[in-house]
Amino acid sequence: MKKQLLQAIMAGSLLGGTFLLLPSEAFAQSGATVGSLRGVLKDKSTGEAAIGATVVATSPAMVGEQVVITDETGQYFINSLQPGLYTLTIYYNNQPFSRPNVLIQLGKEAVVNVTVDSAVAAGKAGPGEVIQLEGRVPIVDQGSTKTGFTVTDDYTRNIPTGRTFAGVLGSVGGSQNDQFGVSLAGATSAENIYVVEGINTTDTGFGGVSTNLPNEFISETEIITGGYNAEFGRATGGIVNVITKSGSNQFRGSVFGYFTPGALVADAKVIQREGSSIDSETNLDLAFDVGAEIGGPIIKDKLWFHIGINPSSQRSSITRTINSLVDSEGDGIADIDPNTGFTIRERVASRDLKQNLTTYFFTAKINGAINEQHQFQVSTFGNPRSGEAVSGNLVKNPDFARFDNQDGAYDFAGKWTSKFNQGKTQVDAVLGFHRGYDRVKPLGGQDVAPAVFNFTRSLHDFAPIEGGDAIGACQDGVADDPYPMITNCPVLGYQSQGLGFLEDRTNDRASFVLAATQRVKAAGYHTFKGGIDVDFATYDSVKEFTGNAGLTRGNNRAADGVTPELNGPRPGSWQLREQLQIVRNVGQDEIDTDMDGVPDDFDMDGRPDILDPNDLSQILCVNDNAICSNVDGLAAETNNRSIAVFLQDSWQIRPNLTLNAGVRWEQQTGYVAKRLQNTISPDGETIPEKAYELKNQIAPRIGLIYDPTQEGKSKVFGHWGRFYENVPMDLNVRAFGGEITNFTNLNPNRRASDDPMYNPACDVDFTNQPVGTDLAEVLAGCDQRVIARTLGGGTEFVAPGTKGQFTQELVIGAEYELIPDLKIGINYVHRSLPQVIEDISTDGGNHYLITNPGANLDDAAQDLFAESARLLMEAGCSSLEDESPTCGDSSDKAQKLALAGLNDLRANQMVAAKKFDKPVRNYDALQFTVVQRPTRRSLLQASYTYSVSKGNYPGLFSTETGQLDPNLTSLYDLPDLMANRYGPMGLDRPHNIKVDGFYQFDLKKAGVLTTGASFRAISGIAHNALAAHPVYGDQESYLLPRGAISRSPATFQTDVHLSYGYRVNKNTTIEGFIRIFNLLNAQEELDADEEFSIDNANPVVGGEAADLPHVKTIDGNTGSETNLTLTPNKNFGNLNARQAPTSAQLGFRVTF
Amino acid sequence: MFVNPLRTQGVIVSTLALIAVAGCDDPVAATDLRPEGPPEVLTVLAMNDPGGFFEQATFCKEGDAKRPGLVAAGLSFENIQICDDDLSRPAGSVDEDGTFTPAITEDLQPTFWYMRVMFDELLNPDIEELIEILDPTTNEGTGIFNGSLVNTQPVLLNCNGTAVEYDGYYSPSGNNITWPLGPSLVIQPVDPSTVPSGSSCTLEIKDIVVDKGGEPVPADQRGPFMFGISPLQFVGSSPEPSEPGEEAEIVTDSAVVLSFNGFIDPASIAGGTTGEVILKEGAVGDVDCANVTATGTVVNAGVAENADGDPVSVDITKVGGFTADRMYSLTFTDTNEVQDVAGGVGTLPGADDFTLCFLATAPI
Repeated sequence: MKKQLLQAIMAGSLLGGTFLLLPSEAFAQSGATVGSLRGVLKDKSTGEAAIGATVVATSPAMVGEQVVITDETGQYFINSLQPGLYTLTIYYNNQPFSRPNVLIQLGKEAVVNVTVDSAVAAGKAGPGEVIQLEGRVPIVDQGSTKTGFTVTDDYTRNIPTGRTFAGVLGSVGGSQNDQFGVSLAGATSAENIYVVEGINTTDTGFGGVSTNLPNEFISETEIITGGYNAEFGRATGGIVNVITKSGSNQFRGSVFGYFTPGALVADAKVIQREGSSIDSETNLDLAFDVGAEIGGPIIKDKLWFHIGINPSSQRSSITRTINSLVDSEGDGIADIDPNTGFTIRERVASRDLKQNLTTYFFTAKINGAINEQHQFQVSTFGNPRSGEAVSGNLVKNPDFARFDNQDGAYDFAGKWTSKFNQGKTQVDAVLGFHRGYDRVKPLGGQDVAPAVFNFTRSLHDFAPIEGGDAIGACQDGVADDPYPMITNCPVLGYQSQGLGFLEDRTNDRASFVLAATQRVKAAGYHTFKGGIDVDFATYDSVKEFTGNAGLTRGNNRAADGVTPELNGPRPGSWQLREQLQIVRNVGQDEIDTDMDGVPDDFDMDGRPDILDPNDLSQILCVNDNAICSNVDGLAAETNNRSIAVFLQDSWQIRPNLTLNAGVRWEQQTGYVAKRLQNTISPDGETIPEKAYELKNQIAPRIGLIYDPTQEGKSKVFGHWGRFYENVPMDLNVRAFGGEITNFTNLNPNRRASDDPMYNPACDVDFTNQPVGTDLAEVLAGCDQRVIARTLGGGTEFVAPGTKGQFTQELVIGAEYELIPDLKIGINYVHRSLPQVIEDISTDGGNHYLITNPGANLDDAAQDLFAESARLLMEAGCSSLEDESPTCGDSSDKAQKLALAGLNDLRANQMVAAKKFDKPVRNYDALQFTVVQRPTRRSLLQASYTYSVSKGNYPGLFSTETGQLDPNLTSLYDLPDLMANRYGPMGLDRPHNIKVDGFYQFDLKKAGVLTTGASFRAISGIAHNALAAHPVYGDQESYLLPRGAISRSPATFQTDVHLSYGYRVNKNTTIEGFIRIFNLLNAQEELDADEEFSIDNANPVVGGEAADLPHVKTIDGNTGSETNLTLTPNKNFGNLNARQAPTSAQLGFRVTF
Repeated sequence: MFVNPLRTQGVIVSTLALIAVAGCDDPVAATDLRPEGPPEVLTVLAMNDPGGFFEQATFCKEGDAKRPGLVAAGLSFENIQICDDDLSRPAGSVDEDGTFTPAITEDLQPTFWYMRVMFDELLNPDIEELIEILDPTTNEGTGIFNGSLVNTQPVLLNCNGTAVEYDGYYSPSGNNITWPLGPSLVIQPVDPSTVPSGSSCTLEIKDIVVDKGGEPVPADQRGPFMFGISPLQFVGSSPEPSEPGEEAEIVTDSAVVLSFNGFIDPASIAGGTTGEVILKEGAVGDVDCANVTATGTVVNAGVAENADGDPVSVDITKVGGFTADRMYSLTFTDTNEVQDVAGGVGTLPGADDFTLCFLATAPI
């Protein structure tokens, strides 16, 4: 799907979203919101297992207590424990023993083997006296093969991080930022799922973070990068699992505030770029947030609550500057700085635009326990945001650059857990609702069509907008022109009016999960888990251009695109881009009564007779099978249904050997937009309700964990699994939402005023209209128009037998607790992407087909050919070219003939699907880790990841163009777009180092001093040399193989945290802190301009840099090759993004 | 402390990982070129499209799966069968009955023909010179270049046994499914008017055409590749013949323009009252085309170069100017011969195939 159709949407669009709880995830969520504990009790005096001992687990983090009895082997198991510190009280031989400081972490299984000495107890302990047992819980997670990291509030309090859980995702080894979030395990961020309080809060439309909460509301964030069991699914990336804080029997809470004034942000180095007189830079004025959270008992040991509120505001100034070129020698050549090679510019004027956005984070939770067997939880949380924002592109009228923005999400979740059979049986149920939304509205007076002048001209042409006096130095050809031999202020692509393309969307997800766990003793211990979940997702969208159209004016150059017109400029032509909706279908006998194959135009007005001559907005569309008209906001209400069932067994063969095996079955059904369901398409087909159905997605998982120490201090593990994608709903809206886009050329012949057919309504420029004129209104009267192209036909065809997109992963690793509370680890990961879902086209975008590119669909195509043959016979035709009188000689026969042609076309496309290169994305990583268990006093976490990521398919968005259309990118739209796509991916960063740590100095009565630091070092990405494709637009043609241009340099960043806390009393501490991000003010290049030229050109397959000077352009008007080399982009290879400069954040926290 | 086997296992894990990383070869894609071995000619295309866009194969390498088949061309992505899907077939065409006929291309456009030689791999780009285009205003370089083969002369181009002066360029872009196809050398005559219409031509590749490894095209693949220039043909007139009663009008001091597919030599068209051009003037009030054609008075027809300088057109006038309000008919003798400036011959259509009637009107 053409990216440029949605580029305007993506610009500045924030990710609100609906979500659907996935059954297995919900089960996984119930399992994933807790940890577990097991171990073996031995009696030292007898050397035997301590059979029948009572083990009681208590914690401030848990309502009530959990009680189990050791079995005949002395083993005990306790699951569904809220993360936190626990005390095990063991009653054996009428003597209580206590083992404190047992840390239970989210999603992990701790092994605590306890040795009780009944003889010692009998001799030394008094009645009722509890014997304290010393020991530490091994840090190694014995229960799973998961890779990743868990972030606790010890981390977020003392390590400089972002303010929300999304801001800590970069702490896990191997992760990196991409354009839309954080990439995990080599996948794009849109492939992750985000689970908060057991419900999936991922944006249903595009993937990515929807609900986001401040760290003060969070108990733990588990970042899972791979190796997970069948209970988790719907992600080909990682899983982010978040649980919020809960209440306890004591009132606990905090009041906090963070402030980052603009004065504490260092100056950013200028990013020099050629080509425009308009630059902008964003400066923070003030970012602050103040909040409070508190939890406590409603009924002690029975009912707890936790609530929190945290308004967060960010105020920025975007400084828009206008600059002039300099020609000090008056030789007609702009001066160039010999040191940098850039054109020298001097400031003419500037203006500040303010941006102010406020988010109101909130959370509320109630935990309750009927008794120790039955517990429940109800919670709500969200992050609604509102304010005024500024458009990212400021080469435009600044009065049309600001807009009202409202986005965010809110959620409701309810969970029930019941245990039976002495805890051996557990039933979990989760019910959830998520809503995400995003509304962009133009501010008052802005609802006019955007008009872009897509050629270089003087900015002074727009003096009425910019202020004639302010930009007087930009005026050429006057007496006081400082540089009379040059155009002082050239600007390309100036937008004189209108905001652009907007979307108003709401994304909901409702879900229900039911799961059961059963522990069985048989040849060891089996923990069987099984579950089912159903979720319903919706994506309701209204898309529109402001003013219902987009206008782009062409240049005033001669046909070769280089030479200025010698006889003076002729009026430029305009391209009108509109969203259309089908008014009604038409038959060929309606539009072509004389059967000459061309729509009738007997009145010679240039428009088909079937159209209303007074309504210029009507056109023939969908291959002349329908009448379409401009629509005021294209609405699409779509929904998905997902079902998953899983079954897994964690088989503890021996205490130090566990086999995890499971299988997951998933099914996803996507539905056509409601208004289109069961209607007749222009091709004569009945549009079904279901757009696609991905059935029987079987995802096996198998893993092995072996502990050589037999004490829970080590593990050697391996895991293999398949992971299916949950297709985001952007596919529903764009491919099944009735999207039709029309491109009309206005004034294509560029008639000058001496032409007898000249129409002043077609000769429109900003400079020849009264100030304040809406150019779109004037152009509405231009009768000289030619339909250039109409894309889309309402709904796309999904090839029968299309299969789900999935990855496969192999993980092999080992961990060892080197010293107490410190473990080292090594793991190797291999991930591949054998099958993807994408839309393809074999006829230049006239018809799309959604399928698995590279797959052999010949068999399914034969079925369609057979259907086509059957329809032909019923139509009385011998072939599609049959012109005999009896062929299609009735309305019914004509329809069958048309359908036969449609099936034949689709069958041919399916046959051609195998011509496309198979998708490849191979990620291999070797990772070394050092992790210290976080405590109140200290934390250390370090990782080094060496990885290689190569392929031809980045994932759910294009890492080069930024097109975020999951499963609908432009990648497979044309076979000739595939060349040179294989190479180092846009997320390939061979070296990735992360070190985080803090230490707390207890100054006793003087207080507490804490120092924390975070260090990051990461390789740069390899770059590309891109050109334009004549149909698909900028940066779609890979002139050289992917990654052929040298990498950006490695980047390094050090952040520090320094705090001082004073204990007011036993429970209350006041703390003040400062955080400095990018302490060394490293502002290294993050990205570089990859656009070698904006001209059209085909790839040099397997080429190298020496070939680039010889590449020839393709004429965008004719599609013919020329003998002209490409116009070089002066910014090619120059950096276009830097690390953010040093900034300081002040904060306070009162903990009680 | 864990035991040695675990440590050993750690080593094994690392080694396996490195093997896994290092041992995977890059996949071969259908869109890849074939850089192994010497450069081979997959197809030779000729420009024979009057619209100046589509190219037709005059040579297809038999048995080579890398040669182009069905290709989507142009902005409308019209499918064109370049070489037959049956790899055993050379260049040619399939008729409606499905019969394949091998053929070279023999209808190249005399005025703007060129040849494209497509290879299976990239060439050494030094085969092409790059000449910078200067800004006409400042005379400074624009950073945009034209490719040129004038000095490198990578091929031998002959028509009717005579060497043809040519230029062209090297296009490294493309493969066997892009449009245009590539990588390719484009060979263009410097002055197509020097090549007679109807010529039989050959193109032969020299051994200076090498790939990046310096290997030349194998001797048995260098040609000669055969093709033919379309014979000189009359393509139409302005004004055009029309239905009786709907004849066009021209001003008395203007001309009828005859257009050809080649560089017509006006001197080869005899006018006057006895030449190949038969210009008849109708009687006063006679506006019946058939009558004027049959019984009109033969007048002195002037044949001259086109006033607008169009080299493929000639102007037909009445010596002394047309008379206002008179109908005229223009036909040609049934047997005739015309030539282009290079001596290529053609014919004008007989009266059965072309009769133009028009009304002369006085200028306003």
